[in-house]
Amino acid sequence: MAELANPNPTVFEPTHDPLKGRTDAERVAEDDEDAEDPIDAWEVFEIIRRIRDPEHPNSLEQLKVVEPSLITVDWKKRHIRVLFTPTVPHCSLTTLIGLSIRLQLERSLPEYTKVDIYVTPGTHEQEAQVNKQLNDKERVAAALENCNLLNVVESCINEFDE
Amino acid sequence: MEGSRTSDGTALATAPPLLLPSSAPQGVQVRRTAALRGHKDRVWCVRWCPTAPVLASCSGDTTVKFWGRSRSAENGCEAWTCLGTLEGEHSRTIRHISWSPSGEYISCASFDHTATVWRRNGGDDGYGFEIEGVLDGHESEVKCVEWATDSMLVTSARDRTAWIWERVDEGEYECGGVLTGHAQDVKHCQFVLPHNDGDVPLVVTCGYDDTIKVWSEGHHHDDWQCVQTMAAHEATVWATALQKLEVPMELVRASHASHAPLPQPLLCSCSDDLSIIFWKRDAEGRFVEAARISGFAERSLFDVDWAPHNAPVVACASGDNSFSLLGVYEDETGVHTCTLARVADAHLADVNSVSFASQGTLTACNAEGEKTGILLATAGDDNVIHLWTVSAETE
Repeated sequence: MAELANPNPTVFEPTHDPLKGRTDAERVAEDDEDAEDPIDAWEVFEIIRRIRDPEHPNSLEQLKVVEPSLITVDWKKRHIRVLFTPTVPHCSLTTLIGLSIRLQLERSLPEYTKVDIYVTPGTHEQEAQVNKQLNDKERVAAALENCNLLNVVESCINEFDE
Repeated sequence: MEGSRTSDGTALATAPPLLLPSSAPQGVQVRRTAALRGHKDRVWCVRWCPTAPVLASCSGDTTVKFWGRSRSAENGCEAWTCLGTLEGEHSRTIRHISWSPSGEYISCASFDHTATVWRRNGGDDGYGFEIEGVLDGHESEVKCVEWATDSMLVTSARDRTAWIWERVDEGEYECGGVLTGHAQDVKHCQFVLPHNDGDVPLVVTCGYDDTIKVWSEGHHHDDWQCVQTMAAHEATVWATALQKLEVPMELVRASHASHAPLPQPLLCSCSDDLSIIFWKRDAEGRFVEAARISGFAERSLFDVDWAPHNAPVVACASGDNSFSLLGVYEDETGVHTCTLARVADAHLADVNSVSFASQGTLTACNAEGEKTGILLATAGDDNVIHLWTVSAETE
């Protein structure tokens, strides 16, 4: 079979405390039933953390590809920005990981949320090219009409669904 | 001024003049007129028929729909309705549509690697088209298709090429040239037809490599060459649009009498760098930057269109759910542009396309004195098409 993009990833233990990392204001908003309950970075993280790596039986959270501290939410503008960190700088599956994140968010977030997805700066050799592809919505739409590619993305999204 | 002369009396070439007002256009009013619903997926492109008040739209749902006003049977009110739908020919997204100059043909560019040509069939009931030809040659998604004449088109695709097509017989099209040179997806293509003696037809393409390229047919038929590359934008160039110039007869006569060039249309381009650039042609026919504007939108600029009948107004579609109207004028210091209006939250999602109707003027009124202006159609990722009436503000 083909050589692995990253044969030896580092695996981390997932966080167990769902409230850890939230600001005090975010905790208060979560308990206030009258508030609109704006989406925060932690909720976005919950949506994508269980996506499976394309070539390993580990989640993006376990490989520290996604982390709540790398997610920015401006809910007034319905805008979310996600940085993700490929496991190796030359990872050839980086675009596929980005597509998985994008499709999962598109399905789980309120309709018409603006999502920008970028490689964490300095973590990939082809950062600019990958970023441009992942944020060209026409190219993304065309890619997801490709059944073979869509099936691969779906399998990454559905593997660890609870 | 007249063209200057060298010492031996030979006339130096003069850049064609522009047809623009000498001060900023007055403000415009934008009023929402109708919402057209029916597409089941995002609407990528809307284009008005050049000869009739009919709007065509294309979508990720693989259909093209036609919209027009019709009188309701029950209450006699006039309303915008879907007059007909083209479906079944494309298996994937239809990304772009284009009417031929006569309005007799419409072409569709699809992600299924083909473009199709449909011909109007004058059924007395619905508004009908039947498929006439398939333009098959691209190796990946076709992003754009535009007509030069009723028998000549250009297509562009993610395979980095643009193709010239000519109808050689009814329903039969031949490739008249492949334009290679872009480094990535070619998002948009269009013809620039000659305005002056000595001008030759050009094709202008733009795309994902952040450039705009100009192509000309060489001395050999079907031998299209890139004659200029404009690298002024800093991100994907999504579209270009040519000013819809109608040169008044008195200017034509004056130009002929003094052997001066006719006015030239401005070209504008919109980009992911959130700017629009206006291009004019110099004495040698090369495109040079005349003006640039940014700051009116927060996300990608996906489409741009000029108002008809020499109105110095351009509409621009943005991924921040808004569209904007920009004015263009020229004073003694050069060409300038300004924002006339911004319609925030025009759609619930990205605005993908803008198209001014071919009829109407900014100052038009009806018999009751109501402003009828010009209709502008916008299409969005929210599956909806909105119609707006754009009219000049009264002083």
